[in-house]
Amino acid sequence: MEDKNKLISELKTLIIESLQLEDVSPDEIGPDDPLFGNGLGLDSIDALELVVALEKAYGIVIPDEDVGKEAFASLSALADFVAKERKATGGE
Amino acid sequence: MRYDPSHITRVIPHRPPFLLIDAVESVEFGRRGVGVSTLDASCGLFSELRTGELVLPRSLLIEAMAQTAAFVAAGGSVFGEAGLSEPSAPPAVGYLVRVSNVTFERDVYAGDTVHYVVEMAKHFGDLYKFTGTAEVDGVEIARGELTFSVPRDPSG
Repeated sequence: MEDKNKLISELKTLIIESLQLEDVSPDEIGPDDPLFGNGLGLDSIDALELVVALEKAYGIVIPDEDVGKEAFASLSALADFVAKERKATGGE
Repeated sequence: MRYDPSHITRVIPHRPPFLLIDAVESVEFGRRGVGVSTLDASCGLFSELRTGELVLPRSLLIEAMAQTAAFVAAGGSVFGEAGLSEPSAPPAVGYLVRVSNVTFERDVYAGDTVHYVVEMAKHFGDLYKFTGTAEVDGVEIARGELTFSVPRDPSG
């Protein structure tokens, strides 16, 4: 759980920096808040930028929108996805 | 393979004087390509400086990169992945939805030949992200990132 919290914290920073969300602080993003739509309010262009940022930071690939929908459901879901992919590729 | 305006206008809707590329070379459709343009003073697009020099508005460098990227992104559906085959389909309609991280190093003057080197960085869903640079005499004069939306045909 400690590892997941650490990863969530990393991902908050990644999201804020890669999407240049200058008016959002890490504390404002709850682990279960939706990242898109009514939650953090990200859009499809942000999704593309996030896909690029995750590939660059962790070497993980989100190949299509179906996988993206699952991974981007919330910060917690994204942390689970990143942890799973890193484990699968031996990156952890 | 060099694509001239007769090919380019089958893929993108831009027409003179707003078609800003004379040719596209070194094309790998869906991946990369190089747009080439030499604009003379009579094209009507230049602004005159107090010194009397004619410079191209910098925003048009980004537009030319975008036209090159649109040709690279959509040309494969028109000419086939291998190049100048018979047209296979009408081009998809794309929209430039974001321009980011743009820098300019110097102006483009009437008579300069500019090469616009574009490369697709990522495709996700309906969105295509390209990186682009503009070069004169092999020297980079501008760069930026361009994102296009190409909505899927609802008929499938």
